[in-house]
Amino acid sequence: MTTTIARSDAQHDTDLSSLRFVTEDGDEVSPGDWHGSPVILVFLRWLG
Amino acid sequence: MREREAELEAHGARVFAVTFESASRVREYRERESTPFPILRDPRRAGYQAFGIERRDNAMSLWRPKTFWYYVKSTLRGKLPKVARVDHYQLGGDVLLSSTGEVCWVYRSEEPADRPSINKVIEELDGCQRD
Repeated sequence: MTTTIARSDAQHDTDLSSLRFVTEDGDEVSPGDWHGSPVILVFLRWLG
Repeated sequence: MREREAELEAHGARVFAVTFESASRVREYRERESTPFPILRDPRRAGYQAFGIERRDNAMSLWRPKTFWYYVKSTLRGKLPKVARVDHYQLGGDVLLSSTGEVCWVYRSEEPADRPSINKVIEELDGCQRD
């Protein structure tokens, strides 16, 4: 059994602008700034 | 997903892998593996938590039949299972953001071998772009 969030619910759940990730170059990026094309974030269990 | 990168790109999607592991582990991984996707680090796991991607607290909740069977099949194909070196209990997940920066879809794995099919990801991607 997998938990998925329907589109209408997901949209209200997360404040993207508060999230920060670090690129391989060491820069900080926020998914809240990403516009123009869809983005798929694959959250890994671990680097195999 | 890496095998069908072109298909995702054809749908206009950018794909990022997200890990909580260290920069040195990312560099080590890059030297070993050819992954087409950029890797983002989330060292405090803020993204994992924000999207509800769980970290379990015991092995029994992870070793369900699907995962057990996945490792049996991998072993039979000659691909010995690797053991997580950092955190056995962190689960994975997939998040789809629309071109306008909204969260369209979240898939939270329930066990290590539980990942969405690429067809499911593309289906959700199409739906996200129609909205």
